[in-house]
Amino acid sequence: MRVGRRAPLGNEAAVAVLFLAPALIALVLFRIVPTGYAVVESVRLKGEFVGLDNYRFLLDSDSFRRSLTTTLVFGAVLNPAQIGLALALAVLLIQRLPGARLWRTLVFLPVAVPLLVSALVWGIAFRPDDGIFNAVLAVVGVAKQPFLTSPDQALPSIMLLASWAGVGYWMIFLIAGLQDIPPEYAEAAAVDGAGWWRTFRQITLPLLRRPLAFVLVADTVANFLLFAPVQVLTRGGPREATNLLMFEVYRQAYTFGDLALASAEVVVVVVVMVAVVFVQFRLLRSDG
Amino acid sequence: MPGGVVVLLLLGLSAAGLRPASAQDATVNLSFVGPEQPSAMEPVIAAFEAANPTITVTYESVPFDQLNDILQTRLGSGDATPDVYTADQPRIPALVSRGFLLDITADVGDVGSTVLPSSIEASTVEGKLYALPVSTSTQLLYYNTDLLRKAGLTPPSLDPEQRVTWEQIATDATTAQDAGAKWGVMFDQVSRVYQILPLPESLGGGNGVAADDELTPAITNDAWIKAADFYGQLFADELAPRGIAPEQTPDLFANGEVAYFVGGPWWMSKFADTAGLAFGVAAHPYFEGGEPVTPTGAWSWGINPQTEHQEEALKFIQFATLDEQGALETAKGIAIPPANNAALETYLAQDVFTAENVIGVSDLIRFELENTAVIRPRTVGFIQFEDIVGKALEDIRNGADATTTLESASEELEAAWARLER
Amino acid sequence: MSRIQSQEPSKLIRYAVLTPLAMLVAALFVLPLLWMLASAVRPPRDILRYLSPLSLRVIVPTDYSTESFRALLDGPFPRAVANSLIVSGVTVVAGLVVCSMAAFGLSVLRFRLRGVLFAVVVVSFLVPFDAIAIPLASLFRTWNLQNSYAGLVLPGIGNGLAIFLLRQFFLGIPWELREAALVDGASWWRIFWSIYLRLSGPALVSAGLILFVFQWQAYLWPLLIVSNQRLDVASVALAKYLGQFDFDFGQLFAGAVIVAIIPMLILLPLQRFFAPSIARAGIKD
Repeated sequence: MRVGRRAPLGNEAAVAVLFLAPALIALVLFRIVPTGYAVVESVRLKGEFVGLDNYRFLLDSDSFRRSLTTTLVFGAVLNPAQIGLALALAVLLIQRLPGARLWRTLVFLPVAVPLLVSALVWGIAFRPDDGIFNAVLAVVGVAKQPFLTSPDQALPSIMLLASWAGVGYWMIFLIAGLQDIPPEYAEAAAVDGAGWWRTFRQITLPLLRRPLAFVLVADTVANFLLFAPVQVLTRGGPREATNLLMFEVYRQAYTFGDLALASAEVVVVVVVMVAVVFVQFRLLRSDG
Repeated sequence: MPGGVVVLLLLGLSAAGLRPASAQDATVNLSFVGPEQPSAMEPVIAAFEAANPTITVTYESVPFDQLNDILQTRLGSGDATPDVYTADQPRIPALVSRGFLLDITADVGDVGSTVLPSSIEASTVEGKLYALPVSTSTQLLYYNTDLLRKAGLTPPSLDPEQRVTWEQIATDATTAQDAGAKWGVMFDQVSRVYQILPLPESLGGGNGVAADDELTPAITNDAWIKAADFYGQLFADELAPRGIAPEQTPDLFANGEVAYFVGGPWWMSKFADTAGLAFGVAAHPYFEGGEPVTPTGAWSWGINPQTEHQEEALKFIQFATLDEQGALETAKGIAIPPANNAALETYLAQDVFTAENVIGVSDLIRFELENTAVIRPRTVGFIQFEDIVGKALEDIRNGADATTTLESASEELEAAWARLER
Repeated sequence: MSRIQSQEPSKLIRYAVLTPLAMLVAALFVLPLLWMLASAVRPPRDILRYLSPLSLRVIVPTDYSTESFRALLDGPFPRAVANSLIVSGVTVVAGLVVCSMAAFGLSVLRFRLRGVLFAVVVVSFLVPFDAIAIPLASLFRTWNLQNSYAGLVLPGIGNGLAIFLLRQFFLGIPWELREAALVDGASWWRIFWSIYLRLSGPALVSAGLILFVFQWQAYLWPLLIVSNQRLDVASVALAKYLGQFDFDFGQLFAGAVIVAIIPMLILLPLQRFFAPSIARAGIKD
């Protein structure tokens, strides 16, 4: 693919610097430098250097370890579910149907609602005694469920809320990806007599690799960093069932004002995420 | 390059005066941060500015849920602003230990006769005054007259000498539910330390912090466990609902679904305005054989030690809290009882407290504030206490065993407090 | 607008099966918003009254009242919406320029440190913004950027995710186009502007969406950097309806409905940009 032709115009590195400068300055100033502060903060306590003490406290802390596991499980279940759903929705809503543009936008609409309000509304819907979900279950004869008040159902309930509020966003990217596939491929397959599912699996999906990779990585990051619904609805409970990592960070940094511990947690979060994303990159490698 | 143009554009925008107009040179501008809507602060600010033409006050509101978090961040970075801010009284020891409040003992003198003693206590650390109290609080027992009548129950008494016990409430709540009430009993700020602490305190279990060392938890004694068991049982028996947040509980009572509602006097006007709701008030319950205890405490206004306008800031908070006129203006914007004695009298004389169905409540409120009010624990680790014990209470509400929950909360609290001591 | 035309389901299936299905799905997603809308046009006291049992009354109010909307539009909310629009709009325009330039540099140009710089970009969006917001806010204060539009916009311009997406897209554009342009003596800027950007309709809309949503959803950052109510963004203004003793659900939901509808109105017409450009047809590696 990268066939070397004659020498390109000027020194590509110099030009690259010009193109990359504004973004790199922004990223360095507004992301990397504060991250550096966080790393520095994580090895200090009350202004003094304490080495890895904060990290040791974290690793000794049962609740932090549990928080890490909870977050990993949360992501492991939610990422494939959300992306699968987003893909299914994209395939459905990309068809030439009357009003398709409207349906697509309506599915996207929850993304535009402030998460604070969405969480509140779902909290009301999840009310065990008079919430709408139990009202519907009552109609079909199912006993009322505890939802957010049960250690077993709280995390899945949050997953449901997170999916409603996010799937439309990923769907849009996948629709763009699907739109981008030239028809010649599908036409060729049709000539060969392949059915819809076969074409989808063997032609469409591989061609969707890049958008899918993008959506997978972005969704993983988003789910790793989710905490607003926890903050509004369960505050980590019941019995720490929904104690996601970023909620822990928020609690330490903002509520307790313990910047040192919060910074150490952030470093751990970033390291874990880099590892996860790296693995995903490898698995979905197409090029570069 | 477009990138450069864009950056210039932005710098231009920011320079283009899209900021608040700064005060003229001759005047001092105080910045003041709090959770109330700006309209609530207008009366006192207008009155203060009228009396002090060279000082202007700019009020900035922060959403209540984030107030403490944001204050922590802003003050923590050593800013000179805000000059004045609202301090949640139980957090004052922690604020003082982090150097966020100015010592105003010398400047203010003796305020004992002007404001409620409990509110002074809450604003004092190691004998020094760090903020001036603006408001206080207490709790009442509301009841739904119709639901009680349907169940054949005598309404509990407004007379503090004849207050009802928690045990009796639990029994009567069951009766009311059997007669058709959706819920027997409910708390306003459910599972919050503010609301529930009186239960173990009434049984003599203390306020959760060891008496001799403010950073040792004391939430696993027998009284605490008994109180926590009682609390959890109310929900397990379905006398009170799970899964409903504090912001939604007053509506439960207003909608006629609850027989007994433990809540603050600030809901009186909401309930009075609700068409079709017949209600009365009684004295806050206590445990049989125990002490009557009511929650109290609210806000004090304090000064940022980094302020560049100390004198003016002092003038402002003194006006708002100690000056009778000023305190009245402050009270206009706040729904909770003022801490200033004179303003409190005006507050209690409002029509809503002298309505026929609640006549006598003003005396009750005065009695509770003077006799049974117990402030929240004074410890530099209060924020951790409120967070961790609050979570434990919510877990107990949702069915967790009281003993194990309190024990693990105690461990978590010890670990969190250990970090403060280093 | 499907391009897989020969594989397109028959008209019968499309109208009889897929359309009702699409409508059902859209309805499910929009249901909570309909409840919010119903709450916003009810008398405030009715909002939490008709939650159960299941009946039409949950979604369809029996009594109507414009009280919540009137109070909402009378207060600081309209100004907050304007602020959100300004901040999001500027972020999208500036961000698209900055991010597409960076994506171009990371995909079309070849130079030694490319991999390293790409890693920097990726790490930048792996760092949780809310966690670094505190040190960043101090930094902004030393630069005197608090209480300004610039302070609100700047952190949103360099968006690693948008750069990542645009780079993915640029990598898919045939290399031959670049080579041909170079042979013709085009400058790099020309190649960037006239070839890559012109072919990037869907990617630009997607990247714009990322930039827009980042600012539209922003809550913690505006709280930290803005203390003057006149500069509040919509999400902050909404949060202030939940006070300590005064919870105005009516205004909260009315405001949330408005906050949700505005991006919808922007997104609906923009969907036509999802059509792939004609120049791409037939050339695929």
